Parts: sequence; C-alpha cells; structure tokens
Amino acid sequence: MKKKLNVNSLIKVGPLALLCIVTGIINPVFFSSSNLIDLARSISFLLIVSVGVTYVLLGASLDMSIGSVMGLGGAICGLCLVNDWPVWLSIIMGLLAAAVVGIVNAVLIVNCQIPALIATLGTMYVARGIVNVLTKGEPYYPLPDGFKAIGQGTLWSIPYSVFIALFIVIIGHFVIKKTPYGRSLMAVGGNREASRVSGINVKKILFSSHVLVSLLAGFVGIIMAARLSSAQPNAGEGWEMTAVAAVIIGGTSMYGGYGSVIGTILGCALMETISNAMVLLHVSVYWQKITIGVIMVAAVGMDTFRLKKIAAR
Amino acid sequence: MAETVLKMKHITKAFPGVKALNDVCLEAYKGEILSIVGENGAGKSTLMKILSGSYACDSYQGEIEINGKKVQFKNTRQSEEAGIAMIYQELNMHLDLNVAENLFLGRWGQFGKNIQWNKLHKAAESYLEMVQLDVDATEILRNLSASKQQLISIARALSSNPQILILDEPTASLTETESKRLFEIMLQLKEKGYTCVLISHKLDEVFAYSDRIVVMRDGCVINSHERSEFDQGLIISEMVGRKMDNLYPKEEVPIKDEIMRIENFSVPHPQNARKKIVEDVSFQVRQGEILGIGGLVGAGRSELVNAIFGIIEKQSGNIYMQGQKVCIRNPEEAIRKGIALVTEDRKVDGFVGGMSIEQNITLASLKAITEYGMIKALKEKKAALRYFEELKVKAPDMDVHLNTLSGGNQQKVVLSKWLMTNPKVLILDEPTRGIDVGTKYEIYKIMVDLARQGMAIIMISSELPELISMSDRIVVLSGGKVAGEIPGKEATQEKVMELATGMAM
Amino acid sequence: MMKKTLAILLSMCMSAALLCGCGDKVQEPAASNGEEASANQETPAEPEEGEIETEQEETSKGDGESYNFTFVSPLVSHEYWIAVENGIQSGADEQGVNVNVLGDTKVDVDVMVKYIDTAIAAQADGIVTMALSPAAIGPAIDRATAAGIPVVLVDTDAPDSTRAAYVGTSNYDAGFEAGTAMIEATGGNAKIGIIRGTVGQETDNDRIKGFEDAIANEAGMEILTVEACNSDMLTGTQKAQDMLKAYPEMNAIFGSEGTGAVAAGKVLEEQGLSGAITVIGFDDTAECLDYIRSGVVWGTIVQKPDFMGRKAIEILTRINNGEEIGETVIDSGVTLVTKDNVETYKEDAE
Repeated sequence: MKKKLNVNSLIKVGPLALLCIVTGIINPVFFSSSNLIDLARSISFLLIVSVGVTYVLLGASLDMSIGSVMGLGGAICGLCLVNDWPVWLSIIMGLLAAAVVGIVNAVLIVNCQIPALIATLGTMYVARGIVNVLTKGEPYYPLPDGFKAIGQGTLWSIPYSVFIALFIVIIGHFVIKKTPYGRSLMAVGGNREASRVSGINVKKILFSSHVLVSLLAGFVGIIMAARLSSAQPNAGEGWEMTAVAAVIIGGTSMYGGYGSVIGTILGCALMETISNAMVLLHVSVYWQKITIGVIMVAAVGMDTFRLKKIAAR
Repeated sequence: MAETVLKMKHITKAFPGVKALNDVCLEAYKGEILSIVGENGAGKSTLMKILSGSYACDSYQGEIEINGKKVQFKNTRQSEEAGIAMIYQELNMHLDLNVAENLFLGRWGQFGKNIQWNKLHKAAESYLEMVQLDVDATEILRNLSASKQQLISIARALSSNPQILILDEPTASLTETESKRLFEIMLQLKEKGYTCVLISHKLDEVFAYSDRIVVMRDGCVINSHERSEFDQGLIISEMVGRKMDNLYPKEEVPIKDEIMRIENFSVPHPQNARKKIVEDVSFQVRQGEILGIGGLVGAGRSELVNAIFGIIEKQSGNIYMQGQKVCIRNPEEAIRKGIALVTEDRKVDGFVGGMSIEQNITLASLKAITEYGMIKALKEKKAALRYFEELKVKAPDMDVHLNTLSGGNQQKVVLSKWLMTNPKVLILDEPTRGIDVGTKYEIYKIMVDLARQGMAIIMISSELPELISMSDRIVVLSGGKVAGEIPGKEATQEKVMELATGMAM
Repeated sequence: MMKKTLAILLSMCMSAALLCGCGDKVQEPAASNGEEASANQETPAEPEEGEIETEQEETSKGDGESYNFTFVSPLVSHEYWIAVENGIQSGADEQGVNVNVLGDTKVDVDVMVKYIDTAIAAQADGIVTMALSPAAIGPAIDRATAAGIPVVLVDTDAPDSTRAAYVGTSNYDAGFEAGTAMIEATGGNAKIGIIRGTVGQETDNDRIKGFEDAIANEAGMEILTVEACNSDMLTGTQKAQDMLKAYPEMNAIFGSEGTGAVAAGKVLEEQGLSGAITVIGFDDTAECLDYIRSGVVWGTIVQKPDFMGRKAIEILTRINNGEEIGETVIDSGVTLVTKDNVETYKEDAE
C-alpha cells in the first residue's frame, strides 16, 4: 500500500519535474536561490486559497466568489488601516468580511439549495461591487509598515507567506486525512445521500467548507495587500479560475470525493512554475497562453490516462 | 432439435490477473428460453458483453457463429445489426424523453431527415403492442413505473428486429405480479420464434420459465440441463460448487423483550402532500425476532422505514425504544438510539463508491475510532478488520474501493458499517436484491446469528420465499396501511399475496 | 392631463432602459427626470429652444433645462478612468447638465457596446466614451449618430466612425513621448523590458508602437521582451521579478499602462535596485508619484484625463446648443512627470 502511493505521487510530480529540468537546463537562472524564493512566494499565495478550494471541491461543491472575496478581504483590511486602526484589528475585520461572504454562500447553497455555481457567481458580483463602492476604484494606500511586514518580511530570506502557506497546507492535509471532519467531507463529496444516511451532518460539513474557503481567500487578499503595500480594488480578479484549475490539475475530482491537499500543492506549483518558466525561457507573450493551456491539458491528461489504466484492470 | 441460432466456441477472455472466461462453449436454439445461472463473478455478464459487442472481437479468443455464419463484432452496433439485442440490468434510457423517442433512440434517422413524428409514434405503438403495454407513445418515461420502463426497454430491443434477446436481471426491480407479466410476454415472444437468453439470480423464475439452464462457475460452463431434468438442488450445488441443503438457514432463537415499538406512523406522499404513503402504521419488534415486512412495491414499506430512520419526514407517529419514547429527526439521532438501516438501493445511499472498504465500514461510527479529535488509524483498521473477516468480504484487502466490488460484497460492507454502530434494531430493506445465491445464504446466516445475539431485525423483502422462510412474523402492508399480520410458521405465499393485494379484505 | 401621463410613461420607459443596461452608477436627480423627458418629447425643435435658453445663462442650474449625457466608461474601478469621470462630473457642473455613468469592472468591448446601445435606447442627449477597439465601437457610434445622438470620444479615437469629436492624445503619441523620455533618462543606452496590460489591447499596442518608433533610430536602445500583467498588481510584480531573472542585462522598464511601472517599482525597491534600473510608466496614481519622489520610478506619462472629461462635456453641450465646435480633434497633450515637476505639474496644467 505504501509503495503504491509513492509511485502514484511520483507520476503526478512528473510534468512539474520535467518542466523544472527543461527550464533549468535552458536557463540556469531558474535554479538560482532568488528565483526559487520568488517562485515559492507566488506559489504560496495561490496555495493558501487553493487549499480552501480543495475542501469545497472535495465536498462536491464549488465557489466562484473567491477572487472577489480576496479583493474584499484586502479592501476592508486596507480601509481600516488607512483609518489608523491597529493592524491586528484591521486583519480581523478583513477576515470577518470574508467570512460573511462565506456564510452567505453557505446559506444560499446549503439552506436555500441554490446551485453552488449560480449562488457564488452572484456573491462574486456583489463582493466585487462592494469593493468598488468602497474604494471608488482607487487603491488604499499607503499602508503602515507593521502591516506591510506580513507580506514583505522574510525569515532566512524566505518570505513569511511561504511559511504561512506551509502551515495551512499541513493543517489542511492533516484535517482531511486524520480527522472525522475530513473523512466526512470526503464521504459527502463521494455520495451525499449515503453520507446522510450514515449519520453525517451533511449540511454542517458543506456549510463549514464554504466558510473556510472564504476565510482563506480573504486571508490571501490581506497578505496580498501587505505584499503590494496597497489594497488594490481589482485584486484577485480571475483567481477563482486559476485556483480551481490548480486544484484539478492536482488530481482533485470536480465531482467531489476524491483528491488531496498534497495534489493541490503540485497543481499550484505547476501553474506558477509555468508562468515563471515562460518568462525565463523568453517565450513571447503572444504564445504564453497557448503554452499554458497545452501544459495544463497535458498534465491532467497524463493523470486521467493513468486512472483509466487502473480502472481498466 | 430446433435449429441452432447462436454458437459461441471456445471463448476465452482474460483481464489482467484474472481469467474471466475459460474456453466457454454455448449454443442457443431458435425459439427457446435459455437461462444462464451462476454466482456473481461466474462470467455470465462477461460472456454477454462479448456477445453484445461491448468487448471488441480482438479482446478475446474464440469464435461466434450466428445462423452458421462466423461473425466478428467490433462494437455494439455490429452486434445489433447481426440480430442481437441486449436488455441491461440497469435501465439505460433517457428518463426525460418520451416513450417513442426512447424506443428509437439513435435510430431516429429512419424517420426522415426532419423526423416525421407521426410515423415514429405509429411505429412505437406497434412495438408497445408486442409487449402488451398500454401507454401513450408521447408519455415521458419518468412518469412511468419501473415495470413499465422495463417493458419499454424490451420493446426497444424488439424494435431493432433481433433474433436473440438477452435479458440481464430483468426482474430485479419488479414485483411478483409485474415479473409474471414480463415472463408471459417472453413466452409469447418465444412462440414467435425469438430466442431469449435470460440471466437471473431469482432461481424460481428460472425454473418456472426456462427451456434449458446453463450453469456457469469461475469462468467455465459446468453443465447444461434440459427442462425435463431440472433439479433445483443439483443446479444450486453446481453453481456454488458445494452442496447446499437449505437455501434459508433459519433457526429458532429465543425471542425476548420488546425493543422497539412504532405507533400510528403516517408519512406524507412525496409527490402529493395531501396523500399519505404510509398511514397509521403500528407494530413492535422484539429481541431475537426477525420481523418481515411484506407488500407490493409502492405499498409504503421503504417509506415507512426511511421515516423511522429520519431520512424522510414523517407526518405523525411515535417511536418507543425499550418502552421509552424517543424523538428521531435525522439518521444521526436514529443511530444514537440504536437503530441501523440497510437501505433499499445501496448504490444510491448505501455506500461511498470512491472510498475504501475500511473507510466505508467505519463511516457511521467515526466517533468510536476518534481520540482527541483524530481518527486513530490502528483502531480503525482493527475495528474494520473484525467485520471484514466476520462477514467474509471477498476482496484482496480493505483498501479496495467499493466501486470495484460485486453487489454481494458491497452489501456485506454496508452491513458491516451498520453492525459497527452496535444497533439494537437492524432494519434491512431488500437485503439480498441483485445478490448471488452463495452470498444470499451468507447474509441469511448473519441475520440468524445476529438474532441469536439478541438483536431485533426488521426485513423488507419482495421475494416471498425469502420473506416467509426467514421471518418469525410478517407484517403485510397494502396501500400504506397494515393489511394484516401472519406468524412465520403459518405464512404461505398465497396468504401474503392475498393481504398485499387487498383480496382478503 | 395628457402631458402628465405621457411624462410618467416616458420616465418609466427611460428608467427601464437604464435598468436593462444594469447602470452601475446612476447619478441623476430622479425628480427632474420625467419633466425633462416630456419636454424633449414635445419639442422636436429642441436645439433652438436650448440655444435660446443657454444663451441667456449657460451655467445656471435648475431652470428646468439641462441635457442628459451618458458616459460609457471602459473600466469604472480604475484610477485613470475615475479621473476621466471626475473631469466629466466637473464639466457637467460647469455646464449645468446631467451625466449618467455606465461601465463594468472588467474591460470588455462587448459590454461597452451594450451600454452605448442602452444610452441610445434611453435617448441620451450625448454620449462620451472611448474607442477601446475602433472596429467594435465604431458601428455603435454610427448607430448613435444615426439616432441623432452626438458621440465624443476621449482617450482613444475611432477616426473612421461618425463620432462628433475626439479629445485626447493619441496613444501612439503618448507612447512616443515615453520613448523620447526613455532616451533622455538613459542617455540613449538602454536594454528595455516592457510590461503591458492585456495582450491584444489596442491602447497598449499603440503606446508600444509609439515607444518603439521613438527609439528606433537610437543604436543603443533595444527592447528585450514584452510581458503582460493583465493590469493585476500581483501579476505585475511577479512578471517584473521574472524579467529581472531572465534578462540580467536589462536596465530599463517601460510600463505601458497604470500597473506596470508601480509593480516594477515595488520589486526594485525590494531588491535594492532603486535607481539602477530606469522605470518609465503611464498615469499618475498616488503610488506612482511616491515612487517618483523616492527615485524608484524615473518618470511617468500623464494623459490629462480630467481635461478630457471636461472638454468632452463642453463639446457635447455646445453641439446640443447648436453651436459650431470647430476643430473635431482636440489634442489634450501629455505631461511627463519626473522628480522635477512631481509637486507642481497639476497646478501647471490648470
């Protein structure tokens, strides 16, 4: 069993490793410590929110509002900061705003039974709208140094956000693999009715996963603002797609019940590495999107092919 | 001897690691009903998939001849053109299309480029007549009962003008009367010269209607019996590979105190709020007792137990556990009160297909294996292993996903899950549906063992021999109401049917 | 009686039309709505009447006669377009007219066309917008003109359309200015990385084209790469980081829209490269000005959004009053903001 697992995850690392090696050979700068640190930072932002997306997808639900929630979390936090609120309180306010959107999503989906895609598309517009009303399109700037340190500070020259992402990944992985909550979430995603009949509180599980993803999205929005020294009104736009893509590339099923946080790390790493490699390999900006698309399909295709082979047994 | 329509010669098909079929030879004659029996995994379905072209001709060894001509099927379409029609176990029709559209699905082209609906409906009606089905060709399939849908799938098979009809468990979701009607139609088709190949676990049907029975076991054909020489005991022992004295290992165990009492239960009809699907039902069940619940499909049996378990909402009624009135609003509370329910359709709400055997067994008792908020892997393994071994689940190990198991083994895992919750009352809704004889026997054995340990068991069954043989007492529902109660020893199929159809009243 | 009913009906139609277009911002006093609408309806020869009125007191408000203009913004949440909008608002205050603002939070030419059609349906007295893609916006402009609604373009022109006037600096010229500034800042020796907004956006295309032409004759100037940041700040910083790695010889960065230079500035400051790499950008966001003050960004090209907006409203008012507008292409000019004039350029422009 242990052996089988290792082989599987090795195969998943394949496309990523290949990309790294090819890029590294063509442009050795890829493996320079400063590039790897930059890369790690990019990955960490995407990873934090993708852990939440993994949870939502595992429960066979969906959240399209995370990009807007990132913007909202950053904007509310920024609004508090420019009004000279203490840093810790501003962060809590940002997280609270994100949590509110998460709760609204959860109520719409779990209690009102509105399809997740529609409900979260709705909140996506509303959340972004609130950001625009608040900011009137201008970033909140300047932000205090104490706050900026969260996004810009480093420990052993590694950005804090990398440690934060690692922490969240470990907790996220642990909860799924080791706790009754994680097990229940997998079961709910795998077969909602069977889980309910087995005495699992399906509503509670789905509700919490939606609040969780919003909280994580809001949190990324906040450290993103810290990183950029300003809360940008359009922060996070389009991230919902990137995050969902990363999670699915990481092997989590769109239909729920199957996947892992470890896979999500690989997915996020692949997405960000592609984007980094494109520049280092001097690929023309006009070709980048095609290349990204091809690599994404190839990565998922390899995995699907592998699963099919297993299923054909 | 009638002319040979079909000859399958020396068919061998291997999957990685398993030989699913080993040198199988099979013949079928014009105008006969040929039954193929065997336990799950004996190779019946694989053989039929080869015949229907689901497995392409290059994926196995051996030859197929139809009317003496050698044929090779690359896909199902070629098989269909050669005159073979397959009626699947699971209905594979579009529930939201109408009857006529379903009948000619994929073949609408024959009714003109712009489909001439009138012609299509006319043609549909002629096939509906063949299966004696009186429904409108424009009726949406979803609105029809399971038995009517089944007949429509036969009509669809007939519409491709076949010589050979293959029916895989056609009566799995039908009641006794509906099944009877289906077989009457099969007999008529046989008279018209169609060859019917029947695969069924319900041996009483097989014995009643077949002209010939072929027994398969472990990928081989064991024997072939003509109607004149049918011997139930012999055929069963050939199927399971050992001698079986009794299909139903019922034993007398002491019946003790009342453990659960249901009083005045009413459940609203899911489609019509003003109607009740269960009305004013009361009964009680005691330690060590196996209580059978009989009745026709639609009598409200499943709805009754689902409402007891808190899966659906009840309108009124009380539950008493050991004399104490309890309130059950959802399955979580039911489990806590010591009730377990093996649901009717295990694929829908019985198990999580993408999870392992171990995880499925522990799913309803996560609290028991959790310490300090964490699932203890060792504890989980130990707990699951106990049931895995006790119930003899056939799988290489407990990490195997439920999707890959046979129906019987899936049912054992579902049963394991509920046993792990330590229930006082175990409710089984059609516990042996779609399960092979050997595993059925094992499940009966488990039921008896549990009863001996003092568990109260409630079993819903549409298979009358099973219901009568296993129950200490039978409550028969009809139209949502209790039609009567029969002590197990006095029960006969006729008595149960009389109550179920309301003829005794 | 008739008149009143008609007024109510019309005002209902108008608000319905506005709602259809999901007007993000409707900044119009609702009370006067019906009155004006009926006035418009009943007096087809309205321009003459308007002329008389405005001749009497052009800037006076609340005398029952004012025009309803619509501004279709390509991006309501962006600082630059907010500056245009502010210009339009102050123009509206000066002229005593009303302005509706329609626009989305994403740049989408289809949405812009839809909003222009909404304005046509609502029988606006004039439309201010920008030709994000002349090929797509052009026909919408022609539809408006055909409906008797004058269209004034700001920022980006669609010269082949029937637009009444254009106020702005061509993006090509602005890009050319940036190129000239880059030569000045680097002494004619630069290996340049460009950060643009979205791939395929004509504004960017034209500015980069102008920039390229400006440096074409300088032997020491070379463009190493063009990367897109999708106007997202975080993506911008990541692209800037990656470019610094991929092209160690790079010593200048040109940001062809509002995000690029600021994003580059953040990265350079972080890596202690302030001043070592010459950064020239577009637009005068607060952050960009701060970077100019601290020497991280060398300079920025400022198109005059405020002026564009004010001028556009002035032109529309004059057209509606039946006045001659003379020149139909008005060069709003650009300002190069550097450390030298960062504190004063705004007053200079006044």
